[in-house]
Amino acid sequence: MITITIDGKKVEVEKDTTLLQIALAKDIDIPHLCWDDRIRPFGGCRLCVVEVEGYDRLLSACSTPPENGMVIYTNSEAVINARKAVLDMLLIHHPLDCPVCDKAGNCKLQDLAYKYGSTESAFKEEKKHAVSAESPFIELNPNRCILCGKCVRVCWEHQGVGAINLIDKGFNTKISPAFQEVLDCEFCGQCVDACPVGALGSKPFKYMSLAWFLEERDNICPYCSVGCTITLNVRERRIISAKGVKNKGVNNGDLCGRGRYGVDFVYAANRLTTPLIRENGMLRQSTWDEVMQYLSIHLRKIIKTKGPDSIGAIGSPRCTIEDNYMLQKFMRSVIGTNNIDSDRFGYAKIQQAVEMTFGLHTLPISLNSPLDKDVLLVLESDITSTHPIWGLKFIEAVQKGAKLIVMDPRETKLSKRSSKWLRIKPGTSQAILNGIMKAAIDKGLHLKNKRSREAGNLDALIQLLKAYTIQQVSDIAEICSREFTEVIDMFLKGERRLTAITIGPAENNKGLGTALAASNMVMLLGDGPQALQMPATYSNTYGMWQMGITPDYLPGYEKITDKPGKNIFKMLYEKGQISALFIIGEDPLITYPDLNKLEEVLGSLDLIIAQDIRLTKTAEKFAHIVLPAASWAEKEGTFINAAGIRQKVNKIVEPATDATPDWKIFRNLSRAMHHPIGMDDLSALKEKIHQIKLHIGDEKWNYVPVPYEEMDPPDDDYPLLMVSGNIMQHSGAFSVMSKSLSHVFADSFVQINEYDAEFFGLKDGDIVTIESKRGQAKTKVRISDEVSRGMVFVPLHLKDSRMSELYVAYEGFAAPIIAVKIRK
Amino acid sequence: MENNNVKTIRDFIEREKKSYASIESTVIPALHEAEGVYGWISPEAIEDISNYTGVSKAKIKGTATFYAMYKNKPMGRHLIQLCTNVVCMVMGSESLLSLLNERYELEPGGMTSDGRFSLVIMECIGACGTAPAMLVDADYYDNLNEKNIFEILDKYQ
Ligand code: SF4
Ligand code: SF4
Ligand code: SF4
Ligand code: FES
Repeated sequence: MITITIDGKKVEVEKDTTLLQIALAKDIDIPHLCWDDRIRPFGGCRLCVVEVEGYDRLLSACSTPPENGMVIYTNSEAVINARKAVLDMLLIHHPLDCPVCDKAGNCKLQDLAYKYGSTESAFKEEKKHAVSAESPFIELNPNRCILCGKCVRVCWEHQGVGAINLIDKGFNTKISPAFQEVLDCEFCGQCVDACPVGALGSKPFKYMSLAWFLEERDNICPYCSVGCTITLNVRERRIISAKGVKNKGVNNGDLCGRGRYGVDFVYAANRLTTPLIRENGMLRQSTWDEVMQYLSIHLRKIIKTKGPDSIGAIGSPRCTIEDNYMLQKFMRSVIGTNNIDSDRFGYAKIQQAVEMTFGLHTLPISLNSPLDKDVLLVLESDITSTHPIWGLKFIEAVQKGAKLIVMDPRETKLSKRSSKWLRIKPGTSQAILNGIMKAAIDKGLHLKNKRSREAGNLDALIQLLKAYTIQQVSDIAEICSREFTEVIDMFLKGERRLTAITIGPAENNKGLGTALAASNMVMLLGDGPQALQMPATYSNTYGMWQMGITPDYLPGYEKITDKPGKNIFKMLYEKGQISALFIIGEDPLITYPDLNKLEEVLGSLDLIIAQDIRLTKTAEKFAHIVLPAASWAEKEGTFINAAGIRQKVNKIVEPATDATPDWKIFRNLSRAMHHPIGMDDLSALKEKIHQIKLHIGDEKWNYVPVPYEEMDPPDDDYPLLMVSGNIMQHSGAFSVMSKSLSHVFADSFVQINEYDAEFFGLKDGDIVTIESKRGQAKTKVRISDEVSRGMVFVPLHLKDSRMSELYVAYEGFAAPIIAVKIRK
Repeated sequence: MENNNVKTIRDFIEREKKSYASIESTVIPALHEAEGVYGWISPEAIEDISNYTGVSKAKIKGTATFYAMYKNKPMGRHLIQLCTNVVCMVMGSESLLSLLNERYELEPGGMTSDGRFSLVIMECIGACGTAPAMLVDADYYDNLNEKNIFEILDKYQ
C-alpha cells in the first residue's frame, strides 16, 4: 500500500491500479470517455486529465498508476480548462442531432457539454458525412463518433472478435468494419453499450423511445445458465430495449446477443392468450373454467382406470423453480406418480456422470474458474455460443497468460484464441481424455493425492487405459501424434488445470462416456471435481434439477430409492407406457430426437396437455388441452444459474390476456381436483422451497472406465458425421420466437467443408436432403471452412426443419453423432 | 486451395513471428510483405494476414489505413512520387502536375485507366538544390522540366 493525496485528502491505495480507478472508488468524479475496466488503458480521449504536483503537464488519470506521495488535483482550474478545451475539440465534428439520437438523455458527451457549459465548438469546421456500414443489429453512425476507440477495444480485447475498427486517419477516420459495406459479426451489442455517444445503436430499438421516457427494470436473462442480469428499458409497461449495466449481476454488465436482442419473444405473434381445447380434431378457444373441469374429470378417470403411473409430465428448464416445484408436487401428491422428467439429452448426462464418479448429486460450475488457471482444456465445446458470457472468461484467461487447448473439429471463437487447437474427429473427446490419462500414468503424473489413490475401480481404469496410447488415440481422433504429444505435455505441465465440457440437448458430439472420462481424468490427476466445469444449459436447468424434475430425485436431490418413475425414454419412446402427458414449456416435436417414433407415441396417448407461452408444434398437432402460461417477464420467481446461484426473476409487464404463471396453473388444477396442495400464494411457495434441505451427496470418488465407441460409424452409404449444436444467436424455443434474433439465421442450414462440397457436387445455397438411417430432412447448404472434412454441422432448433427426424433417442455411453449422406 | 501468394504470406508470417513478442506485432511487416505480393493492401492481403496471425480483419485494415505509406488503393505498375513542397513548387512542380493530368488523366492519389502509373504527392526528400524532384518506383530524378519528365516516364511502360 502507498499513500497519495487527492484533492487535499490523504488516501491509502494499492500500487497496481490507476488514478482514475482510485478516484472512482472514492466517489470523486473524473469524466472519462475512453476508459473501461474490461480493457487496457488507452489514454485517447484526454478528458480524464488531472494535475499532479511535480509534473508540468496534465496526466491522464486512466493510464497513470499512483506513486507514493503523489499529490493530485482532479478539479483545479487548469484541469477544468483542459476538459473544456477537449470538449471544444470533440464538438468540432460531432453533429448536434441530439433530438433524433436514441442516445440523447443517456449520452456522456451531452452530459459533459451540459456540465461544462459548451454546446457548440468555438472552431468552425466541416461536419462529417461518412457513409456507414449496414448490419441487421448494429446501427453505425460514424458521424457521431468521437473516435474514443472504446468499442474497438471492447470488441477485440474483451469480446475476442475485432469486427470493427477506426479505419483511415485524420478527418476521414471512421468507425467501420474492415470492408465498408456490411458489419457481419456476432451481434453481441457490447460495442453499443460501450459507446459513450450515439455512434453505435441497436437497430431493433431504433427510434423506439427517447431515453428520458424509459424506466429501467432489472431481470435475469431467460436464455442460458450463466444467468446474466439484463436491464430492461420499459415504457408504459412495455419492454422497449435491453442493456447491460456495469457492476450489475454475475455478468458485470456484459451481455450476449441473445440476452440483449432476444427478449422480444415475449411479444411474439404466436403467444397464447386463452386456453384451447380440441374438438372434432381442431383446437378452439376455451376458458379456464372449462379446461379445469375437463382436466379434473379426465385425469381422475385415468387415475382410476389405468392408475397414477399412466400419467407423466415433462418439466421445463426455462420455467422458474417455483413453477417446477409445483409441477412435481402436483404430479407426486395429486396424481401420485414419479413419472416426471425433462429433456434428458443434455445435462442429464452430466448429472449422471457426476453421481457415478464423484458421488455428488450436483456439481455447480464457478463462473470465474478459468481466471486463476494456467492451462485450460476445452473439448468439443463451443462455449462462447452456448454460454457466451462465461466463454469470455476463457478469453480473459488467455489474455492473462493462460494456455488454452481446444480439441474440436469445428472452428470456434475459442479455437481462434487458443494456444493449441487440434481438429479431432467429431465425437472423439472421450478417447482424447483416455489418451491424456494414459500418458499421465506413463509419466507417473497420476494419483497425486490420497483420494485419487483410494478411489474405487482404479485397477479396471488402468486396465482400460492400456489401449489408449498416444498413437492409438491419434489414429482414433485422426490427428498427428506429435501434436497430440505436445498438447498432452502442455496440459500435464499445468499446475492449475481446468477442463471444460458443455453437454446441451442440442449437442450430440459428447455423450455420457465423455463426461465420465473427464471425471475420471480429474480424479486420476488428483485435481478433483472443481477442475472440471460442466455447466447446466438453460436459464433454470440447474434449478429444475434441484426441484426434482426427474423420476429418481425429490426436490433437494433426495434420491428416490423405492419406486422411481419413468424417464422420457420410456414415456415418449415406448408405446403403452403412459396414456396421459403434461408437457410444460417444451416442444418435443422440434427439439427431441427420433421424430417418427415420437410422433407415433404421442399420437397414441389419450390426453396431452401442453402448457406453454406459445402454441408449440407439439400442441398444434397433438394436444387435447392447451394452457397459456405467463412468460418470463410476466411473473415473479427464481432461476438458479449454472454456478448454483439463486436469482430473482421479476415481473416487468402484465401477462398476455389469460396467461397464468405455471405454478398457479398447478395450484388451481389441484384445487379443481379437490386435492389442494397448500402454497396458496407465491410467498408460501417460496417459503416451502426455502425449507428444502439440499442433499448434495457425500463426495466419494469412483472411477468408471468406459471404452470409446462410435454410436453410428460412417460407412460408404452414410459417409459424413453429422454434428449438431447451437449457434451464438439461437438456442431454441425462445430465440426462434424473437423477431430480432430470427433476423439472423432464421432458417435451418447445414455447414459443409469446401472439399466435401466439391466432392458431393454441392454449391453454396443449394437445397439438399440430408438422410440418416432413421429419416431425412431438407435444408440449405453453407460451405464453410469452420467445419473439417468428413463432417457436417447443423444448428438444431431452427424453424422449419425436421432435423430431429434424423436423430436417435439414445441412452448409451457414446456420443450420439449420426452418420448421414447428403444429396441434392 | 492455396495459391502462391497465400503461401508466400503464410511462410513469411511463420518465419517472422518468432522475432516478435506477440503475434499482433507481425502485422506491420506482414503488411509490407503482402503489399509486395499483391501490389497493394487488397482485401485478399488482409484476409491472408488475418488467417495466419489470428488478428481480425478490421484490426489489420485499421492499422494499414493508419500509416500513410501503405498502399491502401490498387496501384499502377509504376508509382510516381512528385514533391510539391515549397521549393519544388516554386521551381514548377505544380505545372508538371497539370501536365501529367493532361497527358495521362492522372490525379494525385489516382491511377491511370490502363494501370500504368499511380501518382502520389511526396513530402520533401531534400533535393531542393535540384528541384523539382520525383521518384518513379525506387528511381530518383531531379531537375525536372516539362520535356524531360516525359522522356523519363517513357522508360516505364
Ligand atoms: S456487436 Fe459485438 S462483435 Fe459486433 S462489432 Fe459490436 S462488439 Fe464487436
Ligand atoms: S463508435 Fe462510439 S465507442 Fe466507438 S470510437 Fe466512436 S464514439 Fe467511441
Ligand atoms: S450469456 Fe447467457 S445469460 Fe448471459 S446474456 Fe447471454 S444468453 Fe443471457
Ligand atoms: S478516459 Fe483517460 S484518456 Fe480517455
